[in-house]
This record gives sequence, C-alpha cells and structure tokens, in this order.
Amino acid sequence: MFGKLIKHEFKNTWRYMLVINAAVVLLSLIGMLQMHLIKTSSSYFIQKMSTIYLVLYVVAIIALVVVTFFYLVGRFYKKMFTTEGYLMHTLPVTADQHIGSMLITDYVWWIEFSAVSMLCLFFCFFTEEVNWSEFSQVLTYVAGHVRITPEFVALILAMIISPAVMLLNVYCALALGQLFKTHRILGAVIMYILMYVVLSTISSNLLLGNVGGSSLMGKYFFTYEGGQGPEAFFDGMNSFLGSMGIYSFVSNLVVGAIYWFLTRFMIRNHLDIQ
Amino acid sequence: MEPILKCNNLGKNYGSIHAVDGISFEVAPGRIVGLLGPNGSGKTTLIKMINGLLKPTRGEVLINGNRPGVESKKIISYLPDSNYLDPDMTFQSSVSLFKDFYEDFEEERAYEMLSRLGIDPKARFKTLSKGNKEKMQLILTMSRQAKLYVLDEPIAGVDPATRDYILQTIIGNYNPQASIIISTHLISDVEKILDDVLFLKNGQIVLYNSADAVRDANGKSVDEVFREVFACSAN
Repeated sequence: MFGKLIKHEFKNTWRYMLVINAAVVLLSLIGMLQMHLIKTSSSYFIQKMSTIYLVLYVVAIIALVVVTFFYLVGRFYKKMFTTEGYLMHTLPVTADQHIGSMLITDYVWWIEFSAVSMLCLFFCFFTEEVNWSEFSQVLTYVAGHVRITPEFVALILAMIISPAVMLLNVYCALALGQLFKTHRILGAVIMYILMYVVLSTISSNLLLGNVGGSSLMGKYFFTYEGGQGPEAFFDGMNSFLGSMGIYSFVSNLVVGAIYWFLTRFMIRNHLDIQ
Repeated sequence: MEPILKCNNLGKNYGSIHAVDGISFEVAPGRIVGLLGPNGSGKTTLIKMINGLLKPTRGEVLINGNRPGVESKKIISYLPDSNYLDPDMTFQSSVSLFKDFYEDFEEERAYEMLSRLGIDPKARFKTLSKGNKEKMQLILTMSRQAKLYVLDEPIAGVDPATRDYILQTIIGNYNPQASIIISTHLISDVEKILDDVLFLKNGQIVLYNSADAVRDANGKSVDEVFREVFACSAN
C-alpha cells in the first residue's frame, strides 16, 4: 500500500513539476542569451534590457522555488486536513504511510527542483566565466584534502536529511494548526513560529551556551590549535565540519523524529475535517 | 449473527457540547438503516467516528469486531456529505486509485454506471456540475463490494431527478449481504428502502426499530413519526 501511495503522489504531481522545471530551463536559456548579449553587444539599450531581464530572471527563479515549496506542502494540507481527507483517511493505510509517502514525494521533487534551479542559475551566470580545467583542478584539490571520517559522513548525511526535516517541520506545524477551531492555517503559522523559537533557543544553548559544563562550539571548535597556510586551513575546516557534522546529524534526526510523531499523533487523535 | 457495526456507550464532545452522547446500538448484516435526525443531531459526527475520521471521547465503535483502522477501512465504503475528490482528478484516475487500494472495487461496474450518465471519464472533476460530481462519487462508492456502506446525506441538495438516480444506484448496486447506513433528514424519499430506522436527537438515540414496526406501532409513516418526534422537541 505504501508503494501505491507513492505512485499516486507522483502521478498527481508530475505535470506541475514538469511545467515548472520547463519554465526554469526556458527562462535560463533566455538568460544565457542575455548574458551573451551583455558581453558582446555594443548597444546601450540592449545591454540595459538584458540586465533588467537578468534581475527579473533571478527574482522569477526565487519566486518559482517558493511557489513550488508551498505547492508541495499545500498538497499535504489539502490531502490530510481538507475535504480531500475524507478520501485519504478512509483508504486502508496507516497515518505513518500517509506521512511517509508524501514526505518521499515532496523530498524528491524539492531536491530535484532545487538542483535544477541552482544549476540553471550557475550555467546562466558563470558558463562563459569558468575555466573548466581550473575548476576541476580546484575540485580535485579540495577533494584530496577532505578526510572521509565518520564525522564528515555524518555532516553529509545531515545535509541529505535536512530538507526532509524542513518538510516535516511544515507538516507538523500544519497538523498542530488543527488544534485551532477556526483559522487553522494562521494557527499553523503560529505553531511554526513557536517551534522555530523553541528550537533556536535549544540549538543556540547547545552550540554556544554553557550546557553541562561546556558548549559544543567551545568543546570542538575553539580547542583547535591551528597553524598557518592552506593545510592548516583544511585541518581547521575538517575539525569544525566534523564536529558540526555529528551535531547536525543527531539534531536533525531527533527533531525530524519529533515532528514525525507529533504529525502522526495529530492525524490519529485530533483529525477534524471541516 | 455477528453485527457488522457495534457502538458501545459511544460519545463525542466538542468542549461542553455532547455531539454524540453515549449511544449504544448494533447493525446486523444485510440491513438498510436510516440514520435520521435534524441538522445538528449528531449524524455526521457518528458517521465520522465509524470511519475513523474522529476519535471518540468515550466508548467504542467496532466494525466487524475491529476498531476503526486499516482492517475496518477495507470493508467500509463511505460517501461523505461533501466533494472529496481532488478537482484536478478525473473519473479515470480516481478509478485507478480505488482499484489500487480496495480489493473489492469493481472497475467494470464503475465504467458501466458512468456510461449510463454519458460523462467523459477523462473530464476533470472541476469541470463537472455539482450534481455530476456527486453522482461520480456515488458510483465510486457503490462500485465496491463492501460489507458496510456508510452514506452521509446522499440525497441532500440535489434535484428530484438526481435524487431518484442516487436511490436507484444505491439499491441496484449494493452487495445484498452488506449493510447500508443512510443518513438523511429527507425521510419521505428514502423511507421505502429502509429496513430499520434510528432517530438521533441531540446526540442521543430516541428510537431504533424496524421501519415496519415503527409504522405498525404508530399507524403512520416513518416520515410522519419523525415529524411528530422532532416537532415535540421544538416546543
């Protein structure tokens, strides 16, 4: 049943995502042309128009990313808490399967769309600037100096799961918004802000505050005794990223699990479709 | 015979309001039960608890011996009192969804019923009239060979011709071994198809008996008895 839920989620969303991806690619292709015109055209008018286009292009990409995020989490709200919930919640599946299927679908689309948008922006602005052989040399140099430690792997894993935690955060806020009798979306916004404040307080205390005798920042980062030069820089970065990696990974897992269980609790115990 | 539906001291409060107030009753297999009461009597709240869409404040509801959950949802076919299909979906895509999730869904029957309406199965729901959307939802609900059909106000807010179509579709397509619970306050239209009637008033059961027994005991139609019972409450 879980696989079927995912299948139907992709089936219901692919058209929108195709259109939005195509829009970004098309805008970027025009953007690349404008960049070329700025560099090659001697006409003041064309240069100005191309510059205006590029400013609007960046604004449009940001707007599309925001709209897509709200489209994805808005679908969760519609399916779980509006009249569409009469269908979804009477399917023979569990609340966990609902949350999991929507999370996987939204995560995949979000990563895909973010990657496409960033690549498009990169290619639009930097294609003609980048010396690709130098670029690959820099990448090889950086890769050669990054030590693949458990802490580094934890950091990468933290980066992979953090968009899922971000989505779960919004799901959780939308679910907690159901505690309000009316204006439930406003309630969800209030819940989101409350969660943000609580988490920021805990997080900053852990990182900078004096929790249990020492802060994470003090314990890991400031104890580094660095030297000079690029080697020392990378040693410092490895040390910092490593300690941040463990912290980020564990905190993302814990916070994500809390969001998940709160969302499940609300769906199972406080569902009240109106 | 084991009841298909059993409510034991079932209650749901909204703050200080008792929407459903500790009711107990059973529905045997093969019965068509009219869940009758005026607006605000607790019909929809009861139906939502049967479908697992609301958690009871007290008591329990058992469907074929199970509390609302995955097992109960496999055997209940539910028609809510509002449009619940994604406006961007089509009949075709909703059939595909029902077929995937309900083992008892009969695709051929669904298309056969649709063909009688002459509606394009590829038309998006948002392009259809309210009446046609309701008919499509009813077709999806009645294309299952469920053990319990729960229909919340299936004939409210539709024209008399659509009302007839809906009642004919219900009677012509339900599994005869199954039970049906029809919630309505339009009793004269459904009286002829009811085996049992359950009057709900302020969240409490005021009458639960066979339709024949109600008529025999009062010398009146169920509709007339209903009007008397609920007219008294207004005084």
